Amino acid sequence: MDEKARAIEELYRARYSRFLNMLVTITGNWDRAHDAVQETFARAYAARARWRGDSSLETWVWRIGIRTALGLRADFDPARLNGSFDPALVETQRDPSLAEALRALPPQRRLVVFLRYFADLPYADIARICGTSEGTVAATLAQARESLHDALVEEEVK
Amino acid sequence: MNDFLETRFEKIRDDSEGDWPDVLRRVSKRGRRRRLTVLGAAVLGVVVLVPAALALRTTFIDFFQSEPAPQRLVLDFARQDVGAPPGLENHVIYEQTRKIFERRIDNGQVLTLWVAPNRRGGFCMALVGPRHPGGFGCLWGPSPLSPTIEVAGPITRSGVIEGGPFLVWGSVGVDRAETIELHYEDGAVESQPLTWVSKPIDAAFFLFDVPEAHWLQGHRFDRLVVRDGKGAELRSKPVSFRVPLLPR
Repeated sequence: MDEKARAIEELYRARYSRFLNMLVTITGNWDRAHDAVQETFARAYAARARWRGDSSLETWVWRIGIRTALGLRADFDPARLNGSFDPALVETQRDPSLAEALRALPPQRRLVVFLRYFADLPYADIARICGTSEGTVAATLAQARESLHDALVEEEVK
Repeated sequence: MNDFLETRFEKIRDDSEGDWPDVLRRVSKRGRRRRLTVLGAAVLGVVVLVPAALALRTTFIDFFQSEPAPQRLVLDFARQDVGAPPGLENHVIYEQTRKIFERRIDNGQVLTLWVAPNRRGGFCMALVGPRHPGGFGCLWGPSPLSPTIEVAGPITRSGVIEGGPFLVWGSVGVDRAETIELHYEDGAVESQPLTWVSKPIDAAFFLFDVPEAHWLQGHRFDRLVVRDGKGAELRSKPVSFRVPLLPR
């Protein structure tokens, strides 16, 4: 097995659940999310020769993952993070107030929150995946945290 | 606030584990259009096996990313059709010969399996070691299970194997196959994961080094069984060592 193949397998074994939790916010159900993760890694594995190392392997696979989860929708433009899709929590009963607070965020902020808290990615990777700057990610996350904090504290006060 | 969100998200995360063999199957299916072909079944010759260096799980090899064969091996593959009767050429695409795996066998020798596609819709393969001349075989059509048996010998006329190595190797062309078992007459079973290879080969490969205890009559192998990732039997085939016709 070549080095890239081994690295992809290691990434899969270490990060499967992160991918699953993130991609389910796009696919809307767990079965489709699992399918998206499997397809993501199959595509990455098959195309690994095309990964040139200009971004981290994980970032490259995440981009494939999001595109796969979106079903390669033509209207997805990662460079603009334009909210053309609408990631959301599934099984909202696990934390209804968090689900509701997240629903109130604009889709692009929600995506960044999910990439940070489900995928556990650093700002730099989120920026590369979303085709934006690290500063924009930091600002987006700060705004999102503030909104979520307000909403969740309000909910606790009630 | 940051920790607060992390805690909330942690509580709703799913921590299930993935299924890497399924990823490899998907990779394989992306390229799978053709079925395997089986040509030779049992070839008596010389070889050695080793279960010691077996991989722990099913692996997948992207054929064209695998190591190309050195020139001398390419020439060996090219020579296979020299002098073949008309209509019986393998039409091996020798310049595409690639390494599939290396295994160290019990006697310390390292054997390498080399494979090249052919224009018959199958592939040709050779198991080669420094002191092993290389068993060579080709498949022309689909074959779910194609074993080759090799004994270094010597073998007595009554069938006693006096020298090894004693190898069973070959290919599997059954979808979802992940492991292969070698069953012995005395009830013992050896299992190993398969090594899948992408198109144009589109087959999985295996190599058993039969332990000396199983060279004896009554303890020899009698069956190969192919199983999926959940242990379900996909294919079974009787295999047995037959005493070759020895010159008087």
